[in-house]
Amino acid sequence: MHMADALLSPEVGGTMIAVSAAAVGYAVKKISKDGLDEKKIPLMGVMGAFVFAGQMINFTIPGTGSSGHIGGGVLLAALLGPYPALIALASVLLIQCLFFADGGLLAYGCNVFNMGVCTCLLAYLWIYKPIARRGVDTKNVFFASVAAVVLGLQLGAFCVVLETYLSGVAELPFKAFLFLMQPIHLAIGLVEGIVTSAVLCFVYSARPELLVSTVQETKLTKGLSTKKVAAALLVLTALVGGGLSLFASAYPDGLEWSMEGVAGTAELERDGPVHKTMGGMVGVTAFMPDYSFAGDEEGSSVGTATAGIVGSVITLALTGGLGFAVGALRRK
Amino acid sequence: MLYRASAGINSLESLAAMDSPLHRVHPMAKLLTTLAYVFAVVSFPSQNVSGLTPFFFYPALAMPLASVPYRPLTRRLFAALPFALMGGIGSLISARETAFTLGSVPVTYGMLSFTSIMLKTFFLVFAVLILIATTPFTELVHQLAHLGIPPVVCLQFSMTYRYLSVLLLEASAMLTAYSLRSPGQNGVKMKDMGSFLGQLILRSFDRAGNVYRAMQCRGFQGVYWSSKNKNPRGGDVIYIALFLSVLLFLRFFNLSRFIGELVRQ
Repeated sequence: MHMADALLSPEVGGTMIAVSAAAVGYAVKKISKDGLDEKKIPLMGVMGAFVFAGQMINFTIPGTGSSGHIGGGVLLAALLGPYPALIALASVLLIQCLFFADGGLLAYGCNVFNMGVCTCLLAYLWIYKPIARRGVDTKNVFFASVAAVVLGLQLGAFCVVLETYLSGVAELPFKAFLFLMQPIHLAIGLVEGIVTSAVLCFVYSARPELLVSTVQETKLTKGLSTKKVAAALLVLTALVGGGLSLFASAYPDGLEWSMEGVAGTAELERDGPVHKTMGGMVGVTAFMPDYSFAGDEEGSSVGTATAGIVGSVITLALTGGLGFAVGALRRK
Repeated sequence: MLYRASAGINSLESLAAMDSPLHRVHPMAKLLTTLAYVFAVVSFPSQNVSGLTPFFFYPALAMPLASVPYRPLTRRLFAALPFALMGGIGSLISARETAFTLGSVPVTYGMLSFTSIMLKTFFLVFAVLILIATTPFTELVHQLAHLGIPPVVCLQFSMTYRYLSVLLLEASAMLTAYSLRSPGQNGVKMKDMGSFLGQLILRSFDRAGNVYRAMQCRGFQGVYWSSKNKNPRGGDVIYIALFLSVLLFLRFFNLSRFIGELVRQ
């Protein structure tokens, strides 16, 4: 469920980085306030590495011929508590992004939110914890973990659809994408939930104190309910997202706006001697500038498109050739 | 797979330990320019292909300049492909209006979106991998701390990274033992996953205890100190200025179209 940079707009990516940073900041504040046990630091690190390794172990799903793996958010939250779990998962996602190209730098905020906040905070605090608090036993742990994993994945999948749709980079119809993603992730969630519950039940039978202490430890601060935290995140999303969208609509491109501030114009001046010599090229439409052609005359758009394609191929060849030359020089 | 992942991390770590002009650039300069590159590429409208192609300059020049081989990085490109391909193919199917025809071949808006998404994926994945193949992870985390990321989070990044290969090898050994006891079977049976991962968790907890005691013996009191603190040099400032100038130029001036028009005339 890792989102990629290529399908995100800077506005959506930027908003989600701000929201996830706020959520991680809140988690840091919470664990510092509760008095971060020094012993928990290496535990968080090792458990983060465990989730990374655990995600790579595929299990066979009976009767389907396919395989699956754990997500780890609810599992981490059940073992470490929601706030350390979010920080541990954020570090796993950063390493996956940097070393394995799973997700991207701009998509990092989306991925932390979809796979971390939705599972470690929302699903754990809304579903797992209320059920587990009734009494930590095999039955409650089973129902709590299956329900929390399913809800966490459904929320995450919905966020993926919403973020992709709002970015508008891929022309995916909202409804079709939603009806594709939600049922698939319901099935994945059920399987992952059953495996997560099996793991937690095993840990409970071997070391029950690990699960019991986490449920008892994570007391919510009085006057700060999860609903309020969720509402605060929602307001932050609306504010940052709205602000960036306004910025984007008032100035078609944030970079162009910055450019205008720096150079006094949104476009680089094209009336220098080089451009004058090349007369007639000023104002020629770009290859698909902002989704449309501007040429009125019949065939002009085709001409421009041809120029774009020919130019693109030459540019790629030139830069590739330059790279090859640099490599050859370095080898000498 | 687990062993391959561990080897993959080690190979990137050894690449980052090499020496080249790009390796010598200050980590903060590389971090900032990579972020700027990502934003510049992503900010292109979804169907603008020609404006995007000149951004190939970064992987094309940085890879040979840093003596980074293509193969290990190209392999990682496949990890980013599924989601991008889904978006690209979705665009191909849903945006079927013809944008223009080349001879008798109609080019749809979906085709343009698909090409643009694939180009963006290639550029962005390579930008991040070039950063990590030329900068040690610990130095990157150090820079994140300078950017105001809380120390607990930075410490967590370092600890997870440090114990990744240990846990991967541990899980790999367990998986080998399991496979030897269940010949002809791919992966772990779903009914065995509870005890398999549960065992790994218990081992991880024990390992975390050992790690903590070892850290305490070395005077750990909640903060992890790093002795390295490279100061930026004049060359780093020039690198940032040059990189950003090229980015701005390519973002606002369609170099491909310009060259294409030159050829056409």
